[in-house]
Amino acid sequence: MRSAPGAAGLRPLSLATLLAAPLGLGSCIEFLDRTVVRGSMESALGDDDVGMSCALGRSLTGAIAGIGREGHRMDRTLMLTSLSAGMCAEGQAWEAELDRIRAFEAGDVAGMRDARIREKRHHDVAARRNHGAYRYLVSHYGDPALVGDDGEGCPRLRRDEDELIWLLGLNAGMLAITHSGMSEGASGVPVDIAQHVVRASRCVDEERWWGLPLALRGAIWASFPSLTPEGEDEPWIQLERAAALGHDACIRVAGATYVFTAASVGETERLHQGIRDHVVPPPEEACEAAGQFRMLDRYATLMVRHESDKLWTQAEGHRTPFGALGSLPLAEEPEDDLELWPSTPTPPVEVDAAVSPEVPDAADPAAGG
Amino acid sequence: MPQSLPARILPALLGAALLLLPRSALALQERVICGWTAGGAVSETADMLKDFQAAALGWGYKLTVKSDPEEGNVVGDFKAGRCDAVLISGVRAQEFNRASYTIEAMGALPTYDHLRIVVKQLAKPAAGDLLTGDTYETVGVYPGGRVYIFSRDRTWDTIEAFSGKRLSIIGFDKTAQHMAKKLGAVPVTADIGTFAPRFNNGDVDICYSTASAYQPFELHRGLGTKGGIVDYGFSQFTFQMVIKRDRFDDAFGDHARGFAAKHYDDVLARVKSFDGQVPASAWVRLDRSKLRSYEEFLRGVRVELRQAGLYDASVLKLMKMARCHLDSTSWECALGDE
Repeated sequence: MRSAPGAAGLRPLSLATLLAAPLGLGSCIEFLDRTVVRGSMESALGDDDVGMSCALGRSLTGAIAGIGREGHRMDRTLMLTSLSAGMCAEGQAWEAELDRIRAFEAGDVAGMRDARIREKRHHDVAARRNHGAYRYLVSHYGDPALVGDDGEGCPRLRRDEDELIWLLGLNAGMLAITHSGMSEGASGVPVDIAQHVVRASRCVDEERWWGLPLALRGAIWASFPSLTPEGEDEPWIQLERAAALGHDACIRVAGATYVFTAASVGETERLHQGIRDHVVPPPEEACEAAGQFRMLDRYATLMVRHESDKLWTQAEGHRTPFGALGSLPLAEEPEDDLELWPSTPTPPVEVDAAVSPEVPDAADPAAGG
Repeated sequence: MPQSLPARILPALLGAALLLLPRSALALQERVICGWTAGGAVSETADMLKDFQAAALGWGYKLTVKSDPEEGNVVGDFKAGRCDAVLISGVRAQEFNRASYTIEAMGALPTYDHLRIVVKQLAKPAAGDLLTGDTYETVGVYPGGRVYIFSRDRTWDTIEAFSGKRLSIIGFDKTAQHMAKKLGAVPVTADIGTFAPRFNNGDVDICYSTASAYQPFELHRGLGTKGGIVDYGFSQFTFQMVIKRDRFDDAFGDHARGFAAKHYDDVLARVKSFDGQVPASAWVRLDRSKLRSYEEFLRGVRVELRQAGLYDASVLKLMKMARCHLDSTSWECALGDE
């Protein structure tokens, strides 16, 4: 089934149409799609400027959707641009969320309500864009709903780029449900996507893809414990394993999923641990090898930073101090039971500054989206 | 003794100054509300709690929200004193307030219009006593969806057809146990996590649920090509907010119930969208005679459960008034035993 998300404009005079005349429309569009996707894999995902990617996605999606027609469209490119455009709205929703928390802490009723409304509006936009990305995935590879419990019915994912797009598309489906849920379900994203993602995530190898397939399943099962099939590991064990795989590969999207899920279901200790773990530097050689996908790791850092910002805003009224991602506000830190003072007052023991832990500066000042 | 002018106007000036102060400058009471949020931050209850948090600020309460996707944990934390208030299902709320649980009585409120009337009536200050016990008070009822019968064979649409069938029931719900017995069904104890897999893999023949479970639990798998969903509101699933009385002032209950009534239709819009996700082909429509037999059977169950002390008589009566308000020609309006 190749159902089409809405596409309009530019069709009659598009470059693709002109090229298509001698070459045949289908093969030309396919060629363009493949070229852009490969270009993205080779360069765009290697750039860690998330803000640039979101702006690009927002501006290009409409134009690219106008190229070709149903059945011959740059679906995979559109999946990537829609997903990127979703990040813009997500960033705006995050800002509104911080405003809401700040207003709540200040006892500002009108401010809190206003921020809440803005939050819902942006989540609604993010839900629609991510759902659009998911539908482009469906249009190109077939419906993940057709994948069975043991992985039968997976589409033919011939190249690495197919596997990655499949996985990112499933992630877009999960983001669509998440943002839809946070905006009263106004966008009408069907929630059975969650079960489809669980099964379809088995079509790709969890170790090859930085633990992300495992993280998607763990996040769904931790949020809906009743959906966890018998015989599966406890969701948090899966999430921990996924986060470790991602960390070792220097693409920490699974770790960010762990942090988001912990915040979402009120697992405070896991949330704190996940934030601290995120700033432990991954192996250098892994980061060199993963340079091609730096964008994904950067996005993971922004996700973690947002959860940290919520904790800081709640406790201190401001977001995570610059360069201090990994530290928690005093109210959230475990009580310090270290006692260096002797019973009779004497000068304090001098602590060697060289051994005091330095928090690495994992937070980039450029706020993506 | 006459007071001097400054002495007379000083309290008034102080009062005016107090009114002009921003709310943040006044002391807010800090309390903890725990919510059952299946789906975590993306669930409808998480949404409700954030909106409620904003409203409660205006009543002088700063509520810290704690979410948990396991309802049993929420109830446990409430009883242990780790939460001052909870948002839970009406079934779970039955141990805290019989009157508010009675809103979920079988067959009592077949449509959302019926439920709206009852929620608004119970939000009136005069109903406060009914919802207030020695320790706990129900301070809000929100729609969670009509409860439907899902069966693996769409021809099992009569009361008689339940006899001998394996019926999934929630273990801690005493009223469901009674109903299963009266139907002659074989009760199979389940919980919110296990009823759907058991229905889908054929361990049970019939289960009851809201339409909100249809997509996430993929209940179409259990329905297959032969099964169906009876288009009749067997009961109303509700979310209920319960507080510990000694942790809130007397006005809080009226404020909170008023908030629930005011936002009834907002929450209902989302609930209705779940009903709309069920494909038209899955519904089994009841003809007039079958509908009447459902109504008569469930009315009998309600009367028995009232006599057993599980349903509250005042709320049953209120719900009957709601039914007869919307359909004064109904056969039951002339009867006086409910």
